[in-house]
Amino acid sequence: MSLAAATRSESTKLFTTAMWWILAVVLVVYIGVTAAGLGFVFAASSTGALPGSGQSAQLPTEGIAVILYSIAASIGYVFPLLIGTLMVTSEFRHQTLTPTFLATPRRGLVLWAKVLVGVGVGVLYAVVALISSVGPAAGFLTGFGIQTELTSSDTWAMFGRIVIAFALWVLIGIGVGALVRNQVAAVVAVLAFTQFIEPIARVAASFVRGMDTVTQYLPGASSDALVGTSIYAAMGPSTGAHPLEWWVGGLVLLGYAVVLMILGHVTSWRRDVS
Amino acid sequence: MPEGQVLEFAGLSKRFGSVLAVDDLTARVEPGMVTGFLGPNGAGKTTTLRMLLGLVRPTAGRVTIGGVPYAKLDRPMQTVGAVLEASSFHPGRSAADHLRVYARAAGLASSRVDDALGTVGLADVAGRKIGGYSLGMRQRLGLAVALLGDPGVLVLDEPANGLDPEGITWMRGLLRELARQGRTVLVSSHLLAEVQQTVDSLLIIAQGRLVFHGGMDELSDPSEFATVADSPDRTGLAAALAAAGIGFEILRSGLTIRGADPVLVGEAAVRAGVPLSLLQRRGPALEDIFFDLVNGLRVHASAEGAQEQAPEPEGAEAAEVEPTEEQTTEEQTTGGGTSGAAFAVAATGVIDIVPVEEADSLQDEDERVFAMPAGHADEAAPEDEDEPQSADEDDAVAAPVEEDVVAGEPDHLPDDDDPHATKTDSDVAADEFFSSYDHENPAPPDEDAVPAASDTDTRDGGDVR
Repeated sequence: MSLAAATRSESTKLFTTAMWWILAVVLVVYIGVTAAGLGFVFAASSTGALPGSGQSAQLPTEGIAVILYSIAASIGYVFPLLIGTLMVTSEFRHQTLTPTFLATPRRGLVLWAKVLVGVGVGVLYAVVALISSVGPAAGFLTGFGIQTELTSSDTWAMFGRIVIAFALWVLIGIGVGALVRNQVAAVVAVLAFTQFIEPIARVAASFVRGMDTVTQYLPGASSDALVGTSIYAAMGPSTGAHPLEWWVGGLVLLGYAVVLMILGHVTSWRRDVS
Repeated sequence: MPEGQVLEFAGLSKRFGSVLAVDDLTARVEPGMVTGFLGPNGAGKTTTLRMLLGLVRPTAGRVTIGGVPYAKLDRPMQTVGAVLEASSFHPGRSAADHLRVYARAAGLASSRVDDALGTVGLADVAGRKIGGYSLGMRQRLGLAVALLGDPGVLVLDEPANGLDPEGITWMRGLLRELARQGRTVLVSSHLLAEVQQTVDSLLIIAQGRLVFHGGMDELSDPSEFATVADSPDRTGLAAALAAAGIGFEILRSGLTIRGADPVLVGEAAVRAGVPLSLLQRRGPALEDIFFDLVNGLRVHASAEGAQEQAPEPEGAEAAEVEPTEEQTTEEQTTGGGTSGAAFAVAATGVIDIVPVEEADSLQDEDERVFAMPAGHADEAAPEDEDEPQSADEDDAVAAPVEEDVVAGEPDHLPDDDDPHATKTDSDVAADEFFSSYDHENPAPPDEDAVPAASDTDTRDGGDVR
């Protein structure tokens, strides 16, 4: 009964059901299609190849590549969040918490093992997401003769920050799962928050003066700050607020993960299992 | 060989809101034997076991395994194997992977996975997703998880649920074997009949309190036994007994001698040269003693402080007991006869009921479970005569038995629609359990003179010990 054993158990647990690869397939399709579509539109528009683009302002070719690559995180972050949530709620849902705690009665150890495995699957998802976004986007950029910027160290630094963001999102998911327990409720909450509440709040903040000083600390915005660029930031109207430093965004994201996990551990993880 | 450990419950209590689920439970479970942990549904069995396993935090008291609380065990899966509810699995995971998950957590070699699957007979289906498993297979899988670490202590919560008769027989044999190897085996059930052949020692709880703690043989009092004898020359036998100074009562199917040793009766018959066609010792049904303990009608010295009297059986909250009582109440409307007559029929009446019941619908099986204790209650009646309620029951149950048998009608058929209309899980389990006997011993030799009755007797324990 050690952390290593518990971690091995957790990774076996994660990779012996279909959930991880189903989510990964959806992630590939979702990010790949979005990156391909936007890659075509952006590339075509910035080179003036789109009909009618002659009249409207053309997109600058500079920075397009990075924005397209960052789709991996700005759209894809919900996947590590979901897998993290499911890693915990499926234990409640299928009552496997009983054998889990019988095998590892030190419950904190189980949570730590989930954190380690969560970081691992976060990195894995990040790599898959990056391949899904960079592949089609770079293809269209090359096709339209635009710089792919894949030789730039800044681009690769952003890839690294996306990997960190994914790992942190899994941890936030683990915290949410431990706190909410109910799988359906947790998934609905995660989707509602990431797909509706936060985007709406961020759009609203772009119209209301001063509101973005608050909304930039929302998890999605912090994640974008960590990554450094985002499709939302690129498309939304500029508000003039100073965006967070990447490392501040990372710390805010980590803060969410830590607070949620501590709350989950104290209020739910230590409860009676019956 | 793993060492069995002593399980020690010390003043263990658990409160859920306003409900005291387990109330000051103190007991010791010894290695090398199978200990039955009995009580009606909701008595606190599962909560107690979950406290033992560190899954539920006690409100007061403590419980240890070899002196150590579960959470502090160095190698928990190698020390204790537990089978709790049969639904602790992800349906999309294969059985082998399910075991692998916990084998890794416990740092066990992966060969243990195959061993455990082989032991429980799931080796052929190890690669299949658990979602497609039957309830019986899931029970076996739960047992495989428990056996994974080859533990010295086994804790099983209602392990017979969902097992087919063959599975139950197999499970019994396995538990006996594990105990024989010196391990501690604690198995819970809400049916005494389910475990009485397997267990050496019993813990009975009701409403969270311990009501009995001791060996199976301590459950009934020797004075509650009676001897039943019969002879083709009944008058001769009666005379012989009278000559020997043995008091008796004449029944329709024999003579009942209370408290006497069968040997004395036999000797009396031999001395008078009267041939015997039946000589049998009968005790109260253990299931009945169990119900009385659970309802507080009977108090055992092993459970001091559990003396709340509940003289009204109708006041009992135990789920299993209810049908029996409802039946009794209904039969009271048709009941008649004197107390003596009631006892007389009841002592042998069981035999009479059986052939009618062999019309083997599941409903009948169900009836039988509950009908038997009601009929058998009478055998304990003489000792309970200070309780008028019990005596009334005796009349009520016994008299119709006789009338109905004469008329060729089962006495309890009218009840079919109400108390047993809906089957609970435990009923289904009971059905399966009892039907196992039909396979096991098609014709047990010396239980009784009437073959049809023999399985009945085994079933409710009228003759055991």
